[in-house]
Amino acid sequence: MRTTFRYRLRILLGLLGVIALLIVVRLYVVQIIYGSDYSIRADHQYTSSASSLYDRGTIYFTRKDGTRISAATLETGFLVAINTVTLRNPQTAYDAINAITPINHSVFFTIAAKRNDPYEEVAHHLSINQGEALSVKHIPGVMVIRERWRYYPGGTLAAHAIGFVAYNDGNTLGGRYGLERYYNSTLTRTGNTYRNFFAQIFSNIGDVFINSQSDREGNIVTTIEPEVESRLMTDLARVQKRYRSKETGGIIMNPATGAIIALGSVPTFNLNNFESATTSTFANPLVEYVYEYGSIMKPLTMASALDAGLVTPQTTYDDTGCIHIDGDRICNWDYKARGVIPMGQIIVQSLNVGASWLAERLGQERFRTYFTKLFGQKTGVDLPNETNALLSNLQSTYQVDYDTAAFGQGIAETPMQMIRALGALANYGVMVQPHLVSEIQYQSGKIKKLNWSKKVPVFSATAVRETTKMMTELTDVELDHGRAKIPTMAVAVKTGTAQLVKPTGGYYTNKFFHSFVGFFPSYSPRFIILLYTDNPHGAEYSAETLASSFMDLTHFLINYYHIPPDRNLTPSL
Amino acid sequence: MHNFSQTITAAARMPIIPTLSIIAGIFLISYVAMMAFVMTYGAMQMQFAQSVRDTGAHVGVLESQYLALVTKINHTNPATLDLTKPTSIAYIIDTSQPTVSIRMR
Repeated sequence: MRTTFRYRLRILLGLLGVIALLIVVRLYVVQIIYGSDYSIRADHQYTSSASSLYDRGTIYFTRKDGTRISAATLETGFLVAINTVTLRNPQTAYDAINAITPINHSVFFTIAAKRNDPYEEVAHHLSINQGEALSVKHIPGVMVIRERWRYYPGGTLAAHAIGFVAYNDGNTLGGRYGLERYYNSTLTRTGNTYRNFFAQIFSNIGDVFINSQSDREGNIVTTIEPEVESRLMTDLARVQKRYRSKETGGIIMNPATGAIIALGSVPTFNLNNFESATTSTFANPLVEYVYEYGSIMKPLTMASALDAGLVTPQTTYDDTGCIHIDGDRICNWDYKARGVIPMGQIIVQSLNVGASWLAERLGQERFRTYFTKLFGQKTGVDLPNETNALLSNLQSTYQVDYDTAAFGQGIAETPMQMIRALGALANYGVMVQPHLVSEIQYQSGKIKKLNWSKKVPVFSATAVRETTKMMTELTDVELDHGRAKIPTMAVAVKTGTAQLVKPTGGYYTNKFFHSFVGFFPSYSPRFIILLYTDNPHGAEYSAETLASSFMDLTHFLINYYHIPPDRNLTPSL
Repeated sequence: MHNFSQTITAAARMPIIPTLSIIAGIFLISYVAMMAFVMTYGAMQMQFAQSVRDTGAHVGVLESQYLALVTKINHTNPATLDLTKPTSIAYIIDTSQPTVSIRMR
């Protein structure tokens, strides 16, 4: 009796073991071998697949009233995929899909001809209405699946600065250019929307209480004002088109804080369709390229000499039109001598001989110290791939290299470095740190204000004020023969025209780089604007190519921000 | 020596099988309740997230329209709207205001 019982028990145990083994084998086959396939098939039974939807933080523009407008966000819609196993009539399916969103005929039928292919995507980025319209047709073998993708409401607006998301060689989707790249770790979403608190407690307690995902990931808020940005881009495109330039760019910055209000360059590209642009247009010239700017460097030379106490506005020099130094000849733009004139005329008439005279007064060591302080370091702006200025001429023992640097030739800087340095003239002699992002909004609700308070004093406030007076006189007297003067607003400007460097060495005599800088109100500046255009055709000087754009932006900003008058004049009619 | 009779008496007062059954029942109900809570919570979280995403996408479209409109305005030639350049411009004079001071006693 007892033996029989034991025998039956062993049989039962053996059966249970076999069943358990079969279950384990089946689970292995289902979950490990065909797991991903089943997952896809299960997921695609629904039009609303949510588990693997793409997610990423938002980048915001900030309007003047503080309103946030998305610069980069996510668009929701549908994709269409086909299952060739269950696809009964490819022609019917093609006609139905093509009626809603155009698809390539040959590509579709190549895919449809594949046997036993449960999942092939044939169309993307359908709107919600389009997706639902196709879904209700219930075409066998056609799956309509929810998807999300990166969307840039501004299109070309601040394209170089915003950057975009793309796959890298390792097939990983991430920020590749601009802010998308610089703040990639903040914008990237590492987890699913659904988070089981109980499961988190056991599996990842550190993430719950210490280094929470919601405290690492968030949205970023830029200082870019969308309407100012749009205006700047319109003006840049106008210059680029009219003068058939190689490239045209500009930056508008608050000189007191370093907050960049607008920036851009053309040619540009549409962030929503960057595949159609050439790769060379993706680089951001404002931080990645260096240029020789020409005479907009003169105010910095002047401020250096004034700050060093070597000259005063009343100091005079004898302008001979041309000078010979180290075997080279340096001349004024019109080759004409001015005779004995005060310092202010070096800026007002943009005299190369005068700038050289200042460089010689400063001496090589002092000149090097000032210009290394101005351009020796990267600005630290929150954009990727920022490059260094080319200042090798400042290590030279030849005075001619310092003389030419004094009027912006022989040394090259990025536009971002240039506006930062010139910004010192608009900020009582102190350089600030240019930046694009003011705060990060974490998913936990915390807001982190970014610290951009690093300041570098370069000039005394007195030296800057005297230089500003000279630049303001230029606007009131010289710019467009005085017609650009705004009676109720002092505007300080400087034009610059530099010869372009030949690839083989030396300079072209018929190819130029035009630059223009200005800030206003002159003695309590709200904005500084830097514009440039590379190799424009049909105009020799920047006063022709960039002055009207600068004045257009100035008037726009005065009206848009309601900047009050800063000088008291009788009305001019 | 241990008094077995006392232990047996105590055990007889509290029946083991029914007690364990009740505890198991409580655990089972708690488990089912927690499952229901987690599932409902998960479903609602997904629904809310999807709703926020859909709204966000809609806002994105509106923002796109706004920015396109701004660009269009900037590109518009005022002459095409029958606007003409002003023949004269008058600037507001920045007149000095009378000084206001707090009277100190």
